[in-house]
Amino acid sequence: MRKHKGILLVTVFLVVFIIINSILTFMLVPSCLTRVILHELVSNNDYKCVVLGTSQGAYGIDADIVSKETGRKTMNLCIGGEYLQDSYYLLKKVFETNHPDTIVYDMDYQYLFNIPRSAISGSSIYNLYPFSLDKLFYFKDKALGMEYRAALFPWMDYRENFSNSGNIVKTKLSADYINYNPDTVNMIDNNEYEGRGHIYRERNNHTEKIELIKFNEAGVDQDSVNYFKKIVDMCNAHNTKIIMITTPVSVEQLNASIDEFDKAFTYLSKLAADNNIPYYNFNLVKDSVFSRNMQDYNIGHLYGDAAGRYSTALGKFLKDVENGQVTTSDYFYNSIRDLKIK
Amino acid sequence: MSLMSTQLLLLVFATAVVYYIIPKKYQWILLLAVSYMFYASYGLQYVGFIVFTTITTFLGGIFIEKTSQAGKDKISANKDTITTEEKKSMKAQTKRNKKLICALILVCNFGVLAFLKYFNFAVENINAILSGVGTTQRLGMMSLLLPIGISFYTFQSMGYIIDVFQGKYASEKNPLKFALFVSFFPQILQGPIGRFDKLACQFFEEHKFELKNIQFGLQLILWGFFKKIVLADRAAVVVNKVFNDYTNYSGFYVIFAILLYSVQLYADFSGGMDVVIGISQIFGIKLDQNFARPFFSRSISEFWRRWHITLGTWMKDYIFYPLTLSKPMNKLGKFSKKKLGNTIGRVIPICLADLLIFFLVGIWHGAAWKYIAYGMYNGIIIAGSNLLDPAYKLGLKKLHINSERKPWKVFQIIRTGILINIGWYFDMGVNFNAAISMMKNTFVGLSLSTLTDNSLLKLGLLKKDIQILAVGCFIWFIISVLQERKISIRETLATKPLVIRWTIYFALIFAIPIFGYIGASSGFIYAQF
Repeated sequence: MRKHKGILLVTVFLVVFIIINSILTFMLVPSCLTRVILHELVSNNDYKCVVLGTSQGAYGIDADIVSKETGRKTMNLCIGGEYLQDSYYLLKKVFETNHPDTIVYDMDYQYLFNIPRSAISGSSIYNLYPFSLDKLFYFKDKALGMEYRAALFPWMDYRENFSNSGNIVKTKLSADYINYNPDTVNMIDNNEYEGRGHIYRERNNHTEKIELIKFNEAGVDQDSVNYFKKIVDMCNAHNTKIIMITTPVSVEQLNASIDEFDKAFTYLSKLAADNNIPYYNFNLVKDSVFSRNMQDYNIGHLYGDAAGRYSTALGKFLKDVENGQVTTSDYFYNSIRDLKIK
Repeated sequence: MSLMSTQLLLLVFATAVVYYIIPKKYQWILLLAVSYMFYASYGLQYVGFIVFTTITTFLGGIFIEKTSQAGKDKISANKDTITTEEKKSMKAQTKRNKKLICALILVCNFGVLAFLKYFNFAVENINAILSGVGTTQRLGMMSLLLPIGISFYTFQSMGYIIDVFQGKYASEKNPLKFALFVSFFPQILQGPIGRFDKLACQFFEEHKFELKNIQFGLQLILWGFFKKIVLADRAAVVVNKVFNDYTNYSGFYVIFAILLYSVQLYADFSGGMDVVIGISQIFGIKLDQNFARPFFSRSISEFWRRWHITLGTWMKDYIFYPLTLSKPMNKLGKFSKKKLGNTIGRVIPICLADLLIFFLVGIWHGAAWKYIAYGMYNGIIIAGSNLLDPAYKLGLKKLHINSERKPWKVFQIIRTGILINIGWYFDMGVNFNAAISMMKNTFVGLSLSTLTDNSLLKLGLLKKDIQILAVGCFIWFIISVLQERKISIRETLATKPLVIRWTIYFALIFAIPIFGYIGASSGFIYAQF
């Protein structure tokens, strides 16, 4: 009897813990784009091309423009803080809900170093991933290695929001939120969500240069490399073509660390070759295809108008790839050294 | 799998569920399996080392006992025919054989530890000497593995073999049971260093589900996380900044960093211990306490009786006493009494043993001169205090100071705190020279304006962080005072109504993610030993 009472108390304690934790999550975690993007993915089933990647792609790739150029409905699933294991589980969701014929992986080499396990912060993609058996595996792969706070308290990164919790709750109870309206997301002043994963950044006076992680092959996280292989394998299993690209950073940034970037791009080319997939590095894109300079970037991300031009170029390129008409020398230089600063 | 990882918490939860469901006689087997799984999660290459220690120590224990028994049997079989002299000689032979086995096991295991931990340090110093004498020849360094927790499990196992040699208890006959004693997963990373006679019976007895064990265990785990995440990780920001860039800081910056290092180290190590002891308690296993509010100590020797207690008692039982009671030390004692008088002569061997112990404590912390300096600093103070004790007592008498009065006790606590903090320069300094340089810099630019013009807020912490640190330390201080007065907070709490208890538990559970420091993830300091 005593034993049963003890077990009952432990169970009730756990239930109370879950309730309080859920209330705090509801109160503190604001509406975010990841939720809207995931909804856009699962509520449609006719995407033919899906782009996976990181925030560079979120700002740089306008899925509407790419769709117009390629004639195939495109969804941009590039999300800030999306590591390769997140992309892997997003891709699972893609194949569960859609039948794409092309997957574009926008690879930022820095994400081969940022081992999510070492981070304290959790991940909005993991936290918002729908409950399923896949989520259980996602938990095993991602959250298990994290510090317990990151895994158990999804609201921890938003703990400064206590004073704003009234507004957050109000927003979450609104019809707009329930209907996944992106207007419920508090965006940075010059950012606007355009739909299908693309964030449009209005020009302002900032042209901040960001410090990139230095490339060092020995430091590449092999878990991430394995996830890349799993992504390729999953595409192959679904008879879906996968190509790897890299959204360009500014020419000035490339010129500032040519050797570093050379090493990184050589590694990425090898990674693609090892997985038998093509790699197109838009850092080497010719001026005649997409012209850019430092003024087109803000904290390493393309401004909206520049992103529009880049998306047009990317769309045309993807169409050529689709039609088997691509001549890489028409699009790309051979080396960073061929790029000219304007 | 760090002590703060989700993996570990789930492992503990799942193991506890299975532990209380399976037949009680298999509980220890489950703990053994989980312990090896836990250890292997750090890398399979490490498992070989712990298996080596387990097998050699287990067999050593068996052989020592068999040798002892064989000696006794031989004497009893021939008791009617042998003379007293022969009997003595047989006993001495048995003792020599036992000693040989014990020494072999000690040399093998401490040899592995010393080789892995100190080989490169020795090479570095030999090369420095070679360079000093002008030769161009150099010894090569080796890339060596340092298995997780090797210092802890080696000390624990060697304690066992010495105890068996001394006949304190019988050797364990089941190799798997012995393997659990060496590898018990909560304590393998950073202790406490356990004793076989206290732990074995707990490991192998049947444990019923007791809500109190779960409650008390979870309380300790939470309290440990609070100390580590809210206090230690926050204090570490300033400590790392100042110590890593020591040439750019002086005066109150250094003093602030040193004081915060006290907070960091104590919160980190004792927090880790709380987590370890709490996890063990969930399985009904009570580990030894490793801390007893060391900053209330009135002397350095008392500090070391309250700080890292299990290492201190290990050193005392297996090195200090055998050394001070050894024949050469007895001779030295007699000699010094004759030459220096009874009072001084009596403490000379003790002082020498203290110096040796603290040399070992220093080198145990790491292969660097700064650690040796740290150990010797403590050893010299303790040895000096022993030597000067008569003069000290005389001084108090002449000044009419009652050493049992509160103000004097407070003075002693503050004085001890200052001495301990001076020792941290060596412990945390980048190297020995950096420690000396920081000591000098402490007295440079001691401007009071540093304390009032928000300069200390430029060391990586915000005002809010300092406030959280201050409040957290205050809560910890209050709890320590209550514990010092023998008030058991947990027992008191257990008598309160469920609503009050649960409110406190949930407040603590959620206070950690609310007030915990978020930054680069850092593990427990002592998990690196």
